[in-house]
Amino acid sequence: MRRGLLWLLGGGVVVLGLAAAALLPRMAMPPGITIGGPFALVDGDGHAVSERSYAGLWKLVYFGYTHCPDACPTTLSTIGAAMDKLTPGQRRDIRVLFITVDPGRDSPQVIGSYVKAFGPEFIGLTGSPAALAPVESSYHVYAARHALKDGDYAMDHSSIIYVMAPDGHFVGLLDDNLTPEAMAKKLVALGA
Amino acid sequence: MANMRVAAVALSLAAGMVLPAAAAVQVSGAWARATAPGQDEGAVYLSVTSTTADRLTAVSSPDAGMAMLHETTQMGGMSSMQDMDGVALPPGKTVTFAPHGMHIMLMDLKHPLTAGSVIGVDLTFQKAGTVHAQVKVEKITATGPQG
Repeated sequence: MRRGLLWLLGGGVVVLGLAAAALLPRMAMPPGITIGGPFALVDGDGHAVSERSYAGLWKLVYFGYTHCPDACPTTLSTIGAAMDKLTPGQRRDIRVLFITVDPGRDSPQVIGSYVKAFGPEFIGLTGSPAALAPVESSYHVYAARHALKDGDYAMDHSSIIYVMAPDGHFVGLLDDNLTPEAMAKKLVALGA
Repeated sequence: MANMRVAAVALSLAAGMVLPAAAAVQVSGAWARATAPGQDEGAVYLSVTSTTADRLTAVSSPDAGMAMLHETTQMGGMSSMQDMDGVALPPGKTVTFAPHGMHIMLMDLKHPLTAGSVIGVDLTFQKAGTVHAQVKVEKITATGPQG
């Protein structure tokens, strides 16, 4: 319990830092804090991919899981609706990377067919726990299993959208409670 | 005159005895998102208004093996899903179940939820008894009941 609380507090501190960073789009992160980095995961088609697979493209990175009935589909729907507000030219250079925090249930096939429902620029990424752990830590993501009454489980997880520039650098955050209009506007303001 | 008053009282008593049970709780705008391939859980959103103080204590659905009251809580960018034992309904106030908040979680769905179809939920209230509501399934990208 105490350990869980510490994790949550730790997450809160990181998130506060991230929120401060979000207020200063396109500015350098405070020294010592970087967001994002190299990864080696598997996409929905079963192909091995890395951060280099999406070089030259804007990336919206969001962590979640397919068995999540509320927060994840709500956020992915909002991103999809925000995409619809952009011009075809703006959309073409954006990919939405949905990275699972639940690799036990999210196989490449499961996450691949899940994200397709939200739009053509959505890519589902999964991998072994050992491959996902460094990705979660490079994005300062918190994810933990949480038992439900019936023996099933849900995942507590950071619900923030990271905006990564074509060169791979972190440029800002999108709150998952934004309206599609506000999200599209902020994306354009960030340079996408 | 006196007779009329008695009749009026009797009428209002009779109405009072019949109507509240039927009209005390109103469920409206129930919707759910279509499920993605392979997904066997879903979330139902709706609004509940009770004319008297009541409490939603249980939910079930003929379309799911199990239904539960859940709340997604957002704290400092963290999303967590909590079980709820019940939801208080203050008199006359509409309580809304909406994305990123309270929802009825359907687990072990008996069939995929497809956009355009209708499923059912049964809501059990402490005083009003069980109320059945029809739930419109919207497309997976819907952010509200009209999708």
